[in-house]
Amino acid sequence: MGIETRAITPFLTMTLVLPLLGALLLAMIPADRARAHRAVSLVASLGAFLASLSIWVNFNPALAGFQLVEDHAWMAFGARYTVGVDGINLLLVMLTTVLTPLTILSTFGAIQKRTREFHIAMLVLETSMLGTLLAMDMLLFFFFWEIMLVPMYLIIGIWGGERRIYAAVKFFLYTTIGSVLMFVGIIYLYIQGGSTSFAYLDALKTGLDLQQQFWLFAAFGLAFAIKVPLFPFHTWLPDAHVEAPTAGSVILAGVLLKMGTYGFLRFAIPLFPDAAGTFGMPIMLLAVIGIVYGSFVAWAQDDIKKLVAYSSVAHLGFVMLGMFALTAEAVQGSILQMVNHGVSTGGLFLLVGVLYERRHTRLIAAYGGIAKPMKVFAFFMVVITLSSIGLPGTNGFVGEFLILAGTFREALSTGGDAGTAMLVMGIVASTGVVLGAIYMLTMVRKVLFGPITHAENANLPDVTFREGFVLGTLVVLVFWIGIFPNVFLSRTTASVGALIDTCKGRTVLHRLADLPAAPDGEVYR
Amino acid sequence: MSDLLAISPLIVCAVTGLLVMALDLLAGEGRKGFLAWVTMGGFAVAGVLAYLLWRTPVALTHPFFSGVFALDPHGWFFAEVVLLSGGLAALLAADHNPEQGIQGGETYSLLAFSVTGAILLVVATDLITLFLGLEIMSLSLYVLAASKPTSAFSAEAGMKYFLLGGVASAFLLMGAAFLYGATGHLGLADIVRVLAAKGADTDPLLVQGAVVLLVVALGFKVAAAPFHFWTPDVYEGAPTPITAFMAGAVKAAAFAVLARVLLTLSRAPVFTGLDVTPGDLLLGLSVLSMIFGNVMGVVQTNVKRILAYSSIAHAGYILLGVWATQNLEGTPGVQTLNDAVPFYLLAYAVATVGAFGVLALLGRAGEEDMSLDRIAGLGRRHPALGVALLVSVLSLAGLPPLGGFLAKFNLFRQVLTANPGTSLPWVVLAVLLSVVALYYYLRIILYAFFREPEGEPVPAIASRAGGIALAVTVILTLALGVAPGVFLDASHTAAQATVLAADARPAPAVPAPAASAPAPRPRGDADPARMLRSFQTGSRRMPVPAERPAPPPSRP
Repeated sequence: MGIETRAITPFLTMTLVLPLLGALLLAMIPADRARAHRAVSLVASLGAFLASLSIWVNFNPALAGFQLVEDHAWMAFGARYTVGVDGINLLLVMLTTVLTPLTILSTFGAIQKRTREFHIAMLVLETSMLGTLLAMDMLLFFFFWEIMLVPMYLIIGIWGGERRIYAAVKFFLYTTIGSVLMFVGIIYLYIQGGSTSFAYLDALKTGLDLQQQFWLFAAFGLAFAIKVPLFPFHTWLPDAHVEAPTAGSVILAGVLLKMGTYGFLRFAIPLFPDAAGTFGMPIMLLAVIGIVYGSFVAWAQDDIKKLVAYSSVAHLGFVMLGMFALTAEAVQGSILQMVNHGVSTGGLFLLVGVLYERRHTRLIAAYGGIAKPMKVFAFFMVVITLSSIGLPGTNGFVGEFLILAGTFREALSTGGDAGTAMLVMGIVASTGVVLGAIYMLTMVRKVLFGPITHAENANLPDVTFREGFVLGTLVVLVFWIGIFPNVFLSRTTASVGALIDTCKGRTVLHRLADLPAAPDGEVYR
Repeated sequence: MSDLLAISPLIVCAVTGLLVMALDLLAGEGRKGFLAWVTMGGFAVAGVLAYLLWRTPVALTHPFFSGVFALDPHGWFFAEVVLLSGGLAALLAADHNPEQGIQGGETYSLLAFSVTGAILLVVATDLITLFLGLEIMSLSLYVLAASKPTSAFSAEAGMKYFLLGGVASAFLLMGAAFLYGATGHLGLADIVRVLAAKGADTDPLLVQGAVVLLVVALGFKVAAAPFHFWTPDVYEGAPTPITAFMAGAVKAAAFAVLARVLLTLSRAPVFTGLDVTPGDLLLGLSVLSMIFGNVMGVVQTNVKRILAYSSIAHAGYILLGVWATQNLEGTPGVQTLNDAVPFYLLAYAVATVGAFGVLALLGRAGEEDMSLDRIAGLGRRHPALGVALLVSVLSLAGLPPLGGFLAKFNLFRQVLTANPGTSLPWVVLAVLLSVVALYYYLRIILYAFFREPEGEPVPAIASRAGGIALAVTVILTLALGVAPGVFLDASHTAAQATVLAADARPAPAVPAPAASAPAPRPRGDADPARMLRSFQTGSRRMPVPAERPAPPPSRP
């Protein structure tokens, strides 16, 4: 991996900066001009979307390394402003820029108090998420990674539900505990590499012995595992999701959680490949436990939002499983599944938001038979639910299929006890697909179909044009990814291939085999 | 003449104080606000002069006033921090004081004198000058802390600060006396030179004892645990602009002098082979401060007390930086201050002045309660104050893109670089404790933004001067986090100048007998040492000094 092309036009910076400019503009608008706030916010996020389209267009799928790279000096001790896009972050960048304007559009009705502050928080959040994805410098990455917390903290804490303060503080503290150790890890890695550069590409070349890799992986991995969240670090997630306003939940599930899985794929695995091997099995085991556990807990929920929150734990278990199987299909499937989860879970949260705005309750029991008054809504809900449980033809199927296929293939090619263990995990994970179908369809049946049990449900207004537009766009994405997955997968192939080659080729053990024996059995650095 | 030019920032500050005193007499009751601007103007002139002197290398090489000052980047960097905090505190006081019933203009003149003392402190290289600076700074502050006429809290704060500060001064004097006794000199560079020349001839215990005494005295001033008990009470009781000044300027000045004295003395060969080195002392204080500051802040319900514990915690981080010394460039074997520390102090000063500044602009006459409930709803009712509080508190918590993040990052980076083997556990402890602290920083934000006041909301004091001061802190905090280049360079230059160059003049080729040290030695300089030794060892005869290189006598 390396730098393939440098940017002639700074598309990446434009994508990054446009939301921030919108936020600055918003700060100058008086507090009572809610319509102006919404307009500016929407235009700024649409601007970022257009800028990201030019990234998509200019992206060359044949190249494995970073493209459209921009590199500028930032701080004298070796931290640089370096951003780049490759097959691993491209889809997530697009997901962010698509989901943010849709989310902003969805809040026009729901958020009535302190609109200016809300939209500033949303736009700053978008910039920080994009920065986290695009950063090719470890310090820059951490910089954006930490900034991400503050707007989300404010969104949950100011515009959230009953127990919003508890949820906001829990969210902030949990994620920070993980990231401070990564912070030390980044500095340690920098010193290990000669104290000259925080560049990701230089970090890849740092020689680390097994023990160092073990501890660094633990430090990075904890930060990412909490963010994902991997079972048993998931307890902050249901609280945060349930208390957050709809827009907060959509961004949290849609993009923010992906930062954890992305972190594993971008940093933890390629930087510390040997440790990733050591930790691989335990993490896959936790991922599978998360799938089964998340599914059962989701099944037991009577609150729709909680159900969707726990289903996130299960879905992200699949992503983690695929990533640590470390075969081309599985990793590509993981990347696609990150996008899928953003689209379908984001969609589900939007659907819950639509219901909540009408009835101000999220209890499944409060609904029933609402397919009659809300026909269009019912259509969207069914499609998005099917995509979430991975029906063939929808996006979810492609991702889950690739992950499971990749896992099984790795299991068979590994052989031995490890292979058997992986095979068992794959089989258990497959049951998660079935469980997902059970709890999601049960929920949909109880909410949409059957007789109308509550009189006030009989005359619920159907989705408005604005809501329909937001949900419709997601439905288009569901089928587009489901039917033409190659449009998306082909853009990840080269980078994922290179990633797997680097990981498998870079391990200390592999290098020891290739090189003449070092004196005293020392590990080559 | 050039001597006077070189200390012109000091003169300007002192004259500002006198001028403000005179103007105070002329200005009528209730129209003292312009004095804040006069004070601020004086500090600005002093700041510009200090900067120009810093940029003029000629001024730095000339020995001024028989070398009792070092007009070097170290001194000027911290002088700028002090002037900045002082100027902002003056602006914050402009409308805070009348609202809180502090009518006279003496706040400003005392502030100017305190700043004068603090600058004297950071440029001092001689123990007497250092003591003078410390006392000028502190005496003004004792009065300032007690300057709220209607408040018993304020009187208590002043009294407590005065009594404990007096004890600390006594420790400092005792330490200075020990050093004088051991070497016959008061200049730090001379002390080190004599110690190096005498070798085993001096009683190492005198110097070691002196270092312990100095660490106690300065540890008190920087609010390091276990000498921190005054901090929450004094910070809470003192008028808020004064608290801001204490947290920002006094801590910076005290750290500057702590680093200079300890690092310079560490060059003396009296610490070899000890079980406990001065570095261990610093590390111990650092760990204690981090634990006390971060953990005790969690149970506080008063914002000023929370920020006081935050100040203790930050003292802990900074002490970790002072502990992890760096090589002096061009002089192998000599350790100087970690170049992350001056930057950290600057970032901390700006953020803490901002946080206290917001509190200073809240409340109405006579009310001094600053519990968390009182700031409820701040973010909605006074968005500008809310943003200033958010930025300052998040910077204290160390979140990007603010100065506090970069300072912390840079500090831990340099601590790990300086001392990769031993410092890793301490850095891990520090970052984990900073998560604990995050809890109480978040509580401040949570009350300000997520809660609504139960009763009537607290009004903000309409203050143009205070608003400008807060805007400066917010802009500086952002600048320190995003574009810190110049500040990091300045910090590096300052840190390189911290340890005094005892070797500037050619060292004698052969370590000559003690008596032939170049400077004329005061009469009977060895006597105090000998007296102390015989005091300690009872009636036992001591070995005669000429017996060098006999090892120091073992203690009974």
